[in-house]
Order: sequence, then C-alpha cells, then structure tokens
Amino acid sequence: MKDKIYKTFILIMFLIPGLIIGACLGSVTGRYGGAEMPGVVNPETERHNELAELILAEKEKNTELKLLLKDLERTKADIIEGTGTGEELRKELYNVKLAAGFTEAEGPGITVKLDDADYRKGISPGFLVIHDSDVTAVLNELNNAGAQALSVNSERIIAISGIICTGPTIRINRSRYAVPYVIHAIGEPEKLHYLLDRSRIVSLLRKYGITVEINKEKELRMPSYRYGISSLVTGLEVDTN
Amino acid sequence: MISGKNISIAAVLLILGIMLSWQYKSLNERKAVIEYENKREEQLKEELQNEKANNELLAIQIENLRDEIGQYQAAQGDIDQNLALLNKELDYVKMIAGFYPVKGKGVIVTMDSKPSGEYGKMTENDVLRVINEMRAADIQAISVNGERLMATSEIKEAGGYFIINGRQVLPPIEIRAIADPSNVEYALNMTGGLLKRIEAYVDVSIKKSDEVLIPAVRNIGTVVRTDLMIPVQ
Repeated sequence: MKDKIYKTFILIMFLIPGLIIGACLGSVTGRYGGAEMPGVVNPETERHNELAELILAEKEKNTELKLLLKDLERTKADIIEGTGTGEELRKELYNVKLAAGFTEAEGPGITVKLDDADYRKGISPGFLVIHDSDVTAVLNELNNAGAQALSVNSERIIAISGIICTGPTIRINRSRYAVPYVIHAIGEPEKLHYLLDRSRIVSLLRKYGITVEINKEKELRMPSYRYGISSLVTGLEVDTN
Repeated sequence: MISGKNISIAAVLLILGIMLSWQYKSLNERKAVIEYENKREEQLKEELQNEKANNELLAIQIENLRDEIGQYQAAQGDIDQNLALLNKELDYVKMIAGFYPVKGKGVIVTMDSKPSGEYGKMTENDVLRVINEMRAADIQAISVNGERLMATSEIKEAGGYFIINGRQVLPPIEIRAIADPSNVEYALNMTGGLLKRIEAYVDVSIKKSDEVLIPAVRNIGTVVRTDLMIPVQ
C-alpha cells in the first residue's frame, strides 16, 4: 500500500516537470506555437504559412532530386569504369569538365562579400546599391589576378554566364539573387587579395560606403555549374575547317 | 518491490524523454517556417517560383542522365560502342568548354571610341558591359578579337590597348557570339539600354550573321589553368 502511494508520488513528480518543460518549449515557437489564440486565424498569416510550407516542400523535393542525380551520376561512372576501356578519354573528359566548371572543385583562394551601403541623405540611391556591372568588374579584376574558378552566391561562373540586373536583384545563370553577393575565387590568395584590394572598382565602391570584405581562404569549395550541360548548347557545330 | 519501483521510474523517464524529443522536433520544424515569417508575400511567391524552376531543371537533368545511362548500358560488352559514346561526350564538353572552334548563327558587334573623343574614350568597363549584356542574352560561345572568352578571361585596359587572355588587343573591339541574333540585338538596343548610355562616346555596330566563326581557346596551358584546383568526387 505504502509502495503504491510512493510510486504514484514519483509518477506525479516526474510528470509535472515534463509537462512544464513541454509547455515552455511549445511557447518558444512563438506566433505559430502556443502564443497564438486558439480559434483565431488571421487569413493573411494563413496564406503566408501556406506559401512557406510550399517552399519547404519544394526544398525537400530539391534535396531528394539532388540525391537521385548524384546517385545516377555514380551509376553512370560505375558503368563506364566497369567496361575498363577508354581510360585516357575518361581522364581527358574529367580535366575538361574541371576547367569548364562542370565539376565541383576545391582549392585555395579568396571570398569577397559585397553589400549595399546604408541609405544616406543627399546621395542618389543609385550610388549606394550594387549593380550588375560592379559584380562583373570585380570578377574581371579577379580574373586579371589569375583566378582559376569563380562563383557568385553558389552559382558557378562559366564562359557564357551573364550577370544582369532584374530590378532590385541580379540574375546569375538562370537564378535571381539579392544582396549580399558572395564571390568565391580559386587562385593564389595573396595575389587575388592584393590586386583586388587595390583595384579601382573596389576603391570606388568603398568610397560610397558599399561593403567590400575580402578574405583569404586556405581551402574553398567551388560548386559545379548546376543546370546540367546536356541541354546547354544547340545550333552550334564544331568548325572542322 | 525494488524492481517494480525502477520500472515505474524508467517508464516515467521514457515518457519524459519522448515528450522532450517530440517538442524539440516540432520546434525545429517551426524554425524553418519562422524563417519565412519576416518575408513579404511577393518575396515568398518569387522564392516558390525559383524553387519550382530549380526542381524542373533537376528533373530534366535526371531524365537526360537516365538516357545516357541507358545508352552506356546498351553498349556494355561492346568496346567500340563504348568508346564511341565516350568520344561523343568528350567532344560535346570540349565544344562548350571552348576547346574547339565553333560556328553557327550569331552576331558580330564592333565597338570603338568616337573619333572626336569629345565625351571621353571607350574603357574596359564599356567592353565588359557589352559582353555581359550579350552573355545574359543566352549566347553559346563568345570571342573578342580572336580570343575565345572563358569564365576566367580578363579584359584589362593598358594605355590605349586592351589585354585579353594575357594577349595585347588593339581597338576596334570585335565581339563575336553564337546566339539568336535578334535576342542579342534586342538586349543591347533596348530603350534605356546599354548602347543608349554609351553612344555619346562609343560607336557600336551590330551585324547579324548566319555563320559566325569563333576560334578555340588559344593556348589551353596558359589561358585555362587548373593547377590549384582539385576536383571534388
């Protein structure tokens, strides 16, 4: 009898803190959690949530598709390797892909972060925001300093990549990005840093208060061009003359 | 009796643990949603559109890759067929990478400082901006004064001339691109577009052509360097 009371006592002693902790965590979730009044639903919030859920669902699908793509790439490589032929060809293919930006790559280099300047009275906002031509000018300086691979906000820059203004965002390859722009460049960190830091474009940007942060990196990871190359080029033929 | 007590404590702890982890999990899920809480609806719609487009692109890539796998599978055991497939792939990649000269429909854009020089001279920035505008108009290959442009090609001014791919280039600048010619022309000539902004001091002519020739990258060893990079498997 005494034991039973004791057990019940322990049960309650553990349940109460458990419930309290649970309730605490629940309310931490804020507007979407315990803090919202039950039964009162703001239609705007609801639509907002719906969109957020849809984006998350697409992102989840994105992860799955990427995994599948990686899987298929491995399958293809395995099949080709399994045949044991064309080792030279495979090596060349790999090197060309590395040079052209169609594989992920690693190496030393620098990161450059560009961000709009704060709004100030008396200066036209046009001088305070980063333009597509500013980004291309920075990339050009990096190329001049011997960059071997470039990316902007995880978009690998290839020979035919354009960077273009679309309202308040810029389009790189086929996607749009807003500030900040983060550029990665593989190359000699000292040289890249030295030449970019002293370039005309960077002093011009800094003059207007635009953020230009340059950091040397021992090891950078460069994404591959992510749109696939099979459908990249049509109506183009090799000139055999 | 001791073991009975232990069991009940264990059970209580178990329940507590489950509750905690469940709460933690839902907290994490919410975090992902909260990330979007401060964004405007238009931003969310745009992001959703972006994500959808991403997934469509991935789906196309997957389909293409499955096709290729099918071809390689069909060629299994047949060495010649296998080499042919590899060669075909290598040729294609070399073509887009700039390792082969190519030809196709396109445009030839010529630009130079106006002779009067009254409103200044053509600078590397003007050349870069025209090239960038062309690249954004879905071109497939591009060269400047005989230099195939790669992702890492520089265009630097050096007192009256330019350096492109490490080689001296004299004005006028002739940019060749393989592309839908009207696309490029439209992109450059748009109202308020680039050419309008530089026409005071730069002469630009756009010529459409059914066959534009674009050279291969001149010297793969010096223009395209990869010695600091290692591929990630």
